[in-house]
Amino acid sequence: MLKINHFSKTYPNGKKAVEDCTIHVKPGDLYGFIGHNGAGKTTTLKAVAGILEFDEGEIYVNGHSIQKEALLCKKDFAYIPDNPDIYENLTGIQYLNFIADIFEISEEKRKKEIDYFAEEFEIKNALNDIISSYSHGMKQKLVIISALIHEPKLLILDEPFVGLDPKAALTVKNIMREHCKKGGAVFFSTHVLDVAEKLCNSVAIIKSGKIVVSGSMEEIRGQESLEEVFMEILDNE
Amino acid sequence: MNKLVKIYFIEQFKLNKICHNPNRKEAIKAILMSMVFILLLGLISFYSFLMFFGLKQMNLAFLIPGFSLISVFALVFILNFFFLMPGFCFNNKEDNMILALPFKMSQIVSARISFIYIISLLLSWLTVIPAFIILLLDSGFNIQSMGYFVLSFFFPLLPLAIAGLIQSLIAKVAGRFKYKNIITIALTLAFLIVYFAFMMNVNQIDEQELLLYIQNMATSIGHKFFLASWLTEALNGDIWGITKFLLVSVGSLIIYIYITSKFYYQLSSDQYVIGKSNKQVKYHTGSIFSALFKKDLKRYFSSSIYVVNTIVGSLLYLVFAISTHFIDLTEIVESMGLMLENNQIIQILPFIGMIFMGLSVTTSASLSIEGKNVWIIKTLPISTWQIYSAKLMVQLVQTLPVCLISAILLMLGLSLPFTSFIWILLLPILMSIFMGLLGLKMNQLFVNYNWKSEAEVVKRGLAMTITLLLGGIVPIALIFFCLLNPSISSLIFYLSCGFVLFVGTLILIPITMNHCF
Repeated sequence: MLKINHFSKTYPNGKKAVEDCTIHVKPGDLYGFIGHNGAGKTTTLKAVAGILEFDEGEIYVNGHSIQKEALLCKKDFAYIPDNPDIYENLTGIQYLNFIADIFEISEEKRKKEIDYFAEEFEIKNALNDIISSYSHGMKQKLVIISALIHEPKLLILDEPFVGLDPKAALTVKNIMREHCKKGGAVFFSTHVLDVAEKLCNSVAIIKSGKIVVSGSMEEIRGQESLEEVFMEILDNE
Repeated sequence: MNKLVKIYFIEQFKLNKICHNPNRKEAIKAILMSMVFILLLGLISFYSFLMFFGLKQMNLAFLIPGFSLISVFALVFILNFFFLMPGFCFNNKEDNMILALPFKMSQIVSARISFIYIISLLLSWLTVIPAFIILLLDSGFNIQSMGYFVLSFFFPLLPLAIAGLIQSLIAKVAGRFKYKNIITIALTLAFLIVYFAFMMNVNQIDEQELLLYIQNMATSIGHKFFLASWLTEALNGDIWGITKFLLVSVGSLIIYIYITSKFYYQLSSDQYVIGKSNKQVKYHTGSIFSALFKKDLKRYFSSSIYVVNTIVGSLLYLVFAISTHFIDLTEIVESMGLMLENNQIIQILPFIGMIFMGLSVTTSASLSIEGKNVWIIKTLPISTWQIYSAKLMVQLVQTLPVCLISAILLMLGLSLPFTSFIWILLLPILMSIFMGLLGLKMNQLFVNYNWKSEAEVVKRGLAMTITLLLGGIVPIALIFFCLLNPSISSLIFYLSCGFVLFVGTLILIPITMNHCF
């Protein structure tokens, strides 16, 4: 579903944010991407989503190169950033209709999907309000709904639980599990190790721009908790 | 307060980009841009010097203080009303952060006004310093010349206070309405028209009197503009004149600081939240193009700064076309500073339309205005063509009807033949399409998504500045070329111009659309 091969990203100021990163996410994988602040998680996710250009390595989404066939890749994934910066002058429903129009979703289908997810996230009553009046959490919920309405094969999420209330966080976790059960894949970054441990079947740990360890959760964790493994890696490497 | 002012300078002038930028290329680019900017300011200053020198040569040096005061007033008012106040004082993304810090309201307002005052003062020196030099050359170091220099520090206060008070009033009034942006746009344009009418009234009489060499011009300026009169009185040693000048200058600023401090919280925060709507959720469907176009159009009209900055050209074109029905064409052109005959004016009408279209470019800020939302269009499966055509359409829905209506009005008002109507319609339309694409290309080259205030990209953005300069200079050059070569037929001019714009558009399309999101 997602193949990141030897991806490296150097910023114009010369700083190497990510170096030789290789990650493979298979259909059905709920893949956690773990690292401390500034480790290179967001840079990698942005490159996967086609937001950041890069000069080394290859990224394939469902067999299509993000550099050469960006539009085909973008039809297959949905990206949710760490900060829900969306068009504040639109109402919630206008934003969702905008996304639905881009993905050419029929009126019937969009009504069904929007109604369902808006009820799940308890923002149905706010859909006619202008987004600038939304709280951070409400904006985050709206971005999540917009990512789900076109049924993407791959979900790319950057710190998806930040700013969500406990019920919404649980809803997102359930959605992620359901999505993977149906054959989709989820690739998400987090530094909440408990969440990653309970949710993911695969995980990669990044430190100072380099993948230190990656693989299935069982392989990486062994007899220890993910937190212990992570702390050992931070101390030893 | 000093710390706030220091931060404002670092932020607004992007000083860290020059001083602490690890990317040398960017630092050099920033330095070069600063040098070009300084050179431009130098040219303005030199122009002022020549103007004052001319007055000295005509033995009218006593008019210099009044003239320089009027110039400073016009410059500072426009700078503040149009550029600094809307983006810096209000609608600033840092407002919430600043309001949460332990500062008094008066400290925040004073810091912002101090920053604006320093900028205004530096700008006023473009006129004040040349005037001071000429006064020194004329009469040497005496009380008058030194008094002029000292009092010049007070020149920016009144225009700054008036611009600020009007902006506060607009923000306060507009905030009471649901569609506050539309109200802000309407009020801003209304105040601008009033201001231009006032300044034209002052200038027109001065110019006429200059031509007639009327020696009592200072009195005339005084009648038209009280502050200039009080300045002249002050420089002649009248204590009451000095008192009035200082009282009004400083008093107006104190009133402005007091009023703004009182309402700053209301003006800066988004407290006018629209009430919850009970309307039923509507699931409209539409094409990709219409979705992008509607999104861009809403974004455009949601920003009063953006609209006011880009709609002026279209509005002026309409006003110009309407005025031909009531005022003689030669008089209108004369008020623009040109002395032309009726047939010459009719000949250059398509180029005049092109100037107005050159000033009505929305696309040169349309990418930057996406700001932090840019991730949305970058991650959606939409092509560059789809994104750009929607942005171009936002400009064309504003300019094309104006081109058509103005061409019809001009044809009817001046009883022009149909062939003239075609050229008056066609060339501005071609210009608008060409400028729209050029604006997109410029914005691609000088894109800035990390702005804190919309004014940074809409008013002070490099892409916007270059596009507007090109849009203004090229048609003006065409007008001069056309007037200086009366032997060449107008038809050849129009055909060549239309051909160049058409080919230019065809060349710009692939160059612009080649960009990848």
